[in-house]
Amino acid sequence: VTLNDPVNGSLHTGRFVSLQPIAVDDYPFLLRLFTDPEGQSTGRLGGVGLNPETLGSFLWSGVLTQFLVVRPDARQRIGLVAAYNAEFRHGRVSLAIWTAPPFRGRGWPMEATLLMLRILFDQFPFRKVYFESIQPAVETFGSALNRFLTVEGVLKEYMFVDGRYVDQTIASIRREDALPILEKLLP
Amino acid sequence: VTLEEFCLHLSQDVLEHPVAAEVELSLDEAGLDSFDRMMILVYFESELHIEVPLDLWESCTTIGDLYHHYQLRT
Repeated sequence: VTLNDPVNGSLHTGRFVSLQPIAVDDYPFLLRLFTDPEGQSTGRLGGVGLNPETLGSFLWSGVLTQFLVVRPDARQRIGLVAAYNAEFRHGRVSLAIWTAPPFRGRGWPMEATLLMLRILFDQFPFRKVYFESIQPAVETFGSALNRFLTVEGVLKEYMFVDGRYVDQTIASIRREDALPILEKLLP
Repeated sequence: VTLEEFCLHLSQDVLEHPVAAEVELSLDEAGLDSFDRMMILVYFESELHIEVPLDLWESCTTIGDLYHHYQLRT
């Protein structure tokens, strides 16, 4: 699957972005996404280096499912959305999204998060999806906290980022709360 | 529909952000985060049935820009 052959499944396609399976052709983009100096300290690596030869195993470590986020009309790669740390016994999973620097703070790429939520609740029997985010990133979706997402806890001064310790916020959304919202927001 | 009505509707149904009624207020100054911005776009399409191309959306920096699109499409 390449950007010239987008997935058009209803579950994977939103108004602004689509989710498509990761292909080896996407690896250079993903390597840049995770090693971009602008997002190094707050990203998935937390500033640690990444061996290009082990990118594949790094990408899938602890991951249940993940997709490349693309903008179909412009055939652009936007980022990556992943479901990880799945606990089927307890019915929970975590979700995270990483967007390339030109698309951060734009708003519309966040639709990928909604699409992934829909996939997780449609394809798996999860009851809750968790979001874990540190302080600078939390501010990009702060308006969703306590409105759509329930803040379950804040780990104080938990992560060392850009020379200081910052809080990590843990929020969640339950299946019964998510489904009506997704039905309203997604096409 | 006046700007005030539009913004009131916008703020009630989507943003719940009282300062959004100022036309020249930039989206950054209005405190609209990524989630707010996505909600505005969804609101434009799903509720107002106005499709704003993302290229145009990228050029929106103020509440007035948003209203301008709203006026053009209605």
